[in-house]
Amino acid sequence: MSSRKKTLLKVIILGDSGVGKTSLMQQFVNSKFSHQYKATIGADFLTKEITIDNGKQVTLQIWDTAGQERFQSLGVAFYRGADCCVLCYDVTNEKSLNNLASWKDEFLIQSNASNPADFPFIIIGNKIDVDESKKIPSLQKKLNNITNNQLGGLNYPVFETSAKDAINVEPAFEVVAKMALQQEELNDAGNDVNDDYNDAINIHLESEGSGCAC
Amino acid sequence: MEPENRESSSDSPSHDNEVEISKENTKSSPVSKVLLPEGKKRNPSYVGDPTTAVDMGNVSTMSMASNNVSPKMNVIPAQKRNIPRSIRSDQDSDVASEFQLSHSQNGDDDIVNNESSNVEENVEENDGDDADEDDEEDLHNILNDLIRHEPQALYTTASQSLAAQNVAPTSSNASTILDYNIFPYNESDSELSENSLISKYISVSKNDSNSVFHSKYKQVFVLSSAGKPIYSLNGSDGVIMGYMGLITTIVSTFEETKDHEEIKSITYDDCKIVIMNRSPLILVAITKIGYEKMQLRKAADVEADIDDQSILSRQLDTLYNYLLSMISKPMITKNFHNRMNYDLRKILTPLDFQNLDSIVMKITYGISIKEPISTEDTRNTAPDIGFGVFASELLDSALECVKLTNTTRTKLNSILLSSKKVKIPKPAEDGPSAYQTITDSIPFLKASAASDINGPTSPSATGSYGDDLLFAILLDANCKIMSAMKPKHHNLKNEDLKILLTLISNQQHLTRHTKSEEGILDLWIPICMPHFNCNGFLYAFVKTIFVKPEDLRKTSSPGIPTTIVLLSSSKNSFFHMQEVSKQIEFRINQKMPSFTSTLYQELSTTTISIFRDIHVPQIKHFIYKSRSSNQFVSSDIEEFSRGNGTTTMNILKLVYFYSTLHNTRATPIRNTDSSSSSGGSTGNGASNGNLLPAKSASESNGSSSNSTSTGRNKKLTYIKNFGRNGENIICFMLCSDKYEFYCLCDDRTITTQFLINHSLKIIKWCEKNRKRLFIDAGAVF
Repeated sequence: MSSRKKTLLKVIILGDSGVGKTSLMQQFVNSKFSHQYKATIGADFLTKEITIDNGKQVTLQIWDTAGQERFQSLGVAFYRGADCCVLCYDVTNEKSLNNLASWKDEFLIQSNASNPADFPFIIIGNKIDVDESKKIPSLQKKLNNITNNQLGGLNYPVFETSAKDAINVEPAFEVVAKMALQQEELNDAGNDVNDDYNDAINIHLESEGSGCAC
Repeated sequence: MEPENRESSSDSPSHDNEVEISKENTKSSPVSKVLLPEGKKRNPSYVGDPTTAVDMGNVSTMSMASNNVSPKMNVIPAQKRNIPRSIRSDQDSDVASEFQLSHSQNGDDDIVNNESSNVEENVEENDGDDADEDDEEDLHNILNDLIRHEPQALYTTASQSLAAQNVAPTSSNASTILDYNIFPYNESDSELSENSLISKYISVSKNDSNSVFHSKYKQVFVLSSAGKPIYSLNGSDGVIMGYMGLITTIVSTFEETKDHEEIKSITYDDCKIVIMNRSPLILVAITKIGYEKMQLRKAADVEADIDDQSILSRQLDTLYNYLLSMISKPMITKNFHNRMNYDLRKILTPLDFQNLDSIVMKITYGISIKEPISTEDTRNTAPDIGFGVFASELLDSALECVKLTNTTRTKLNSILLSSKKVKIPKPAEDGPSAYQTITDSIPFLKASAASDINGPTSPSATGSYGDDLLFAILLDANCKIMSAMKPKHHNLKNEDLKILLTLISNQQHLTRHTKSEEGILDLWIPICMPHFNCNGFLYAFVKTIFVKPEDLRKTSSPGIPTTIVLLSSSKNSFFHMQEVSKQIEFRINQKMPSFTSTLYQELSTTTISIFRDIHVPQIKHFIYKSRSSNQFVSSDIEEFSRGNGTTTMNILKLVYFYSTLHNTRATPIRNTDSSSSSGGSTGNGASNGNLLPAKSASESNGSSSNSTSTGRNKKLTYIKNFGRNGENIICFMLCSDKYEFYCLCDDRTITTQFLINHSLKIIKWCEKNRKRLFIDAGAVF
């Protein structure tokens, strides 16, 4: 009965203001890119259906949040019940790279995820289309430092993308879908409620007066 | 969703508006002054945090300045303002401006904008039942008084019908769904046919297009607290997804305030949005339909002000109950426990979504209409009439019964009782009848309950088949109740039964259109009755049999379908219930041929004809609800619609008329001379919301004398609706402690005197035939 059903995954995109979160989403969902910068107010919501390699259909419900600090009050509602979180930085902006860890912490605190250690994150470095001279000097080394740091390390898959030239955007989101799905299946296995469905409590006729227990 | 900061920009705060209404009232009728205190209940409007703005991506932008959001809601100032009404009237033709001249006294007047005289009266009387003749005269005087105080209304009657003829000479006799301004009027629609109007605005459509989605009058969403969609009446996932995020954000923004406020509703422009937070689920209903924006009023409550639930929130309750019935509260809690990202759609079946569609449509429009998914798929597109479902929702979950003679009903009750007691025979013996082959495919079956069902020999070899049987119900072809049986110490709430009956009627509607060769299936439905026991499941065995007297056996006539519903407490009792159902079928169809033919006869004419049964043909349609049993009957819809448009359209009209009539403000107005005695009249025992109450309350007040304890609070409502084709429908409500009576008639054929006289005649007829119309106690074991 569930063959027809697509899995719905809630994906949150986080990162500093101006790193190109909205552009990534627009490129992924609508294959569009705009040179104009328009700060996201609060959040954007878009959906995209994709088929991942084993033929499984997945609907991604993408929550693109505002990077600007003044919108951070949206907190819990946005992060609650997410299946995967995308952490974005700008390859020309070192501060955005250094902030990734705090975005992750913020997310884990707000989302109240049940097992934070296993929560699926991915890291996207956007704007690789820009001139090499503008990029963060010795980016690879700094990135390695961040991802392999033993304390609060961000040991997650990293993608370098260009929302402008549509480089690597789709593969990145495919990995997002796969990771989220994996986590989802793990959860289902550990929490298989469909078995319990049959163990519904019976109501005994002879237990006088106890019928309306509610 | 455009931001609408009417609250802040308007220089007349809600209080001014109140005064404005009161002026209007004073002008129109002295009586209506008493209606005013209602305004005091308004909540101050809520000024939201301006930073909580949400960008809707490519859906649309909404800055959530919550200025016109009342956190505790229920009485929403914006609704009382007449802005939508005047806007609409401007767009409207001359007819509409005439409408504006006319005035209605209630606070909901922007909704019923072409209702010109709308008057309620509550009369207290202390004399006994035998005073019906006096009643008639009194009532007539009161009604006449009210109408006399409405000179303008009478004036507009004449000019409006003239205006209507001038404006729409072409459509003078064709009634359309635009009649009576039931739905929001749009200039460009006047060219559209009825069918295209219905498919544009009303039919359920899961289309991918934003514009199709946005043109619908009604939206309903169920989503998880994390913002994952679970159910939507219209639109594909892509269309609705943005709104899911938006709703989640709005709800949690209120939740996260320091007082943990809960947002209940938003009213702006032509929309009313009601939100029900049942964490981890959120239910949302949005309507543009005028009659749904009214506050729900229970005619029963004399102190009408205590009741300020909105129609939409009751609808959401019904949907929530459906979900609880299907998956039960513990299951929902368990699934979401520690994983807010849970997708509840995993455990809902396609049938659940069909049922939700059908429930929403029926409680909104009285009829369920769907867009065909593909051109070949005509199966689900036949309109599914559910006026009874609508009426039950309107009348506080009252149940609809079948008209049967008392003898027949008693006989059916005893059949249920005796079938329950049939002993499990010794192994060699055959069952008394086995001519119905049983198909084992059980579409309803979720879970793998079937695998747990053991053979008929399972639990105890010595008991009766019906040992696990808790409740039994017999339904007619339209899912009205013929007879019922219950244990002494347990009751089923109407709210629970309503879900079960809707489920069954949807299933029957579907099978009726499949023309399946396999015949009628036996169903085994695990169902949680949340008001009975919210933690566990009952198991419903459902089987349709055909009542067919002997002389019809040889003919090809299929007989009259009757449905047996057996609720068992044990999931292993399928075969036992099947056996009980065979017993019932045997007793109905074979044991006593004379009874079979009587039943067949009676089931052929279960509709109540005003013309044939009561002989007051000027009344076109009525609903009578017995308050003691919380059951109702209504007259034949065909008599209302005869020769006047399609059934669909007439049902839409009935729904509009009765909604307006029922929910029009009914503030008690006491006669000066009797007002002193009216204080303690609130506790009138209407709480009897069960089918088959443990003690039959109606038994005790069937006759006259105990009127002193409850006080005989009568009240009446009179509304005149002006149609575009000159046909004016009068809606009339009369209710007392014992009954609620609602009727419709055409003002061209009836005078106020006859209106009162005929209404009382129908009421008397219903009282006289109480045993035929209602199930008092049913069978009890």
